[in-house]
Amino acid sequence: MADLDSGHIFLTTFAPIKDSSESNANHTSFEQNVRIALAKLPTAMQSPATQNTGINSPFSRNKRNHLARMFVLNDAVYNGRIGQNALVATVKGVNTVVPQHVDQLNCAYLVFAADIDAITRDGEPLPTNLSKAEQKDVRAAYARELWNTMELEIQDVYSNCVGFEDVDTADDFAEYLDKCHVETTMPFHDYYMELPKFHLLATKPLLLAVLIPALVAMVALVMRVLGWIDVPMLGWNTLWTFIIAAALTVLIAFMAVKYVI
Amino acid sequence: MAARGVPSNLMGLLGLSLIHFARWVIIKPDQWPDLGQGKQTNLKNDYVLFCSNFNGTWDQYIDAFSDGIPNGLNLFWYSSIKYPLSIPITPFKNYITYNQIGNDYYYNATPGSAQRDIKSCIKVYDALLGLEKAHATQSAEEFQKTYNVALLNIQGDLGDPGFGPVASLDTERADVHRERYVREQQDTFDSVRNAAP
Repeated sequence: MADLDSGHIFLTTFAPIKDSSESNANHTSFEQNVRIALAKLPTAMQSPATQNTGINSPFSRNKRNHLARMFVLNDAVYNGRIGQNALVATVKGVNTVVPQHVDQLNCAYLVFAADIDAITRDGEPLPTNLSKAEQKDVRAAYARELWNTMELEIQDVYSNCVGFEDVDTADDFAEYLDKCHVETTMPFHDYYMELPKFHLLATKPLLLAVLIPALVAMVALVMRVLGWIDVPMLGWNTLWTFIIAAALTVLIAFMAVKYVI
Repeated sequence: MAARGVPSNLMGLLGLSLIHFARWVIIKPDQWPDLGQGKQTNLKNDYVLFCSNFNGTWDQYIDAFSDGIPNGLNLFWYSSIKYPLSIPITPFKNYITYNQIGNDYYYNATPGSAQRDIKSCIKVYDALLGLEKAHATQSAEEFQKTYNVALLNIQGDLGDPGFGPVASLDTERADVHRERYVREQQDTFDSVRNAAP
């Protein structure tokens, strides 16, 4: 899983925000409530203005997060109509006046992304590798730590989210955040004191493993089309050679993508 | 995949010493969490969320990316709809601005510390660990020598970074104006906490 890198978990969670057509006593949308709650959260004491308040961020009450952000994602961003070649459009009979499909989310999301130490207890050394189950334990431990140190702030923000009504304890919150968890695809940091030996993908061997049977299949097919029943010197049937080599190509490509890449 | 499997694509970024943590998150239509509001059925595209924590201004950051790893950027975003390539830079910045989501809350555990300041702290920490080990086994005279060598190595890393530059005077004024609401909210929470059995 790509959540883990260099002893840190790149935690990404998406919590759906309630639809404002639900009954809402104070006539403010749930999305706006989330934004207001987030605006009222104190930041770290990072400037003369914030240091003068004497109030530190609730995230500073735990020692596992390096950086954290929360924002409301209203909807997917639409970048406009995808154009196409005029000749192709004409041949296909595409009516450019008719709008294309526009992606829409069925709810807004509260996105919470944090860069945290991959530990379950303060003071533990940072791990190099963790199994999926161990990473889940780390996420749960962090969620419990957040609940134990900033429960009221979490409730103020997350009470506007779908399914949060049943969250009453730290364990409930850990379970809730796990349902909201989305795997980070690619983590990155630049804290290397010296660049390590990165694990490199064996691109050339992988390419050869796919291209060689593909080439054999093509040559066998061409031979068959030209009327050669058997491969010279080897005596293999050209049709079967093509079928087996083509099948091998597909299988190796599939396995390379699934297990290696 | 090209970036994860072939990290040399990112070499232009490493050593810039601008970025703390960054991430790319690809979300397929069936991966948006459903906690009862229903699965996302009106999405045809995958989406990529890119979050970055960096030093300097937005403009400096995008300039550094575009100058540092223009091909790497293209490898990351070539499959994104209407991605204009990383060079020339103006359409690239327009594309980013259009697809950018405003952040509502940001927390930094080490405010004022730039990326190099964090690395300095790691160096000092490592030096202290080494001194702790040496102190346990060396004589006073040997330890003095060890200490002096360590101090010489990390003398450039002992400064206090102080406050980071404020993003703008408007940001500072916003922090001053927001104090009342932040304080009221914290007072409310404190009274709830104090009233709890």
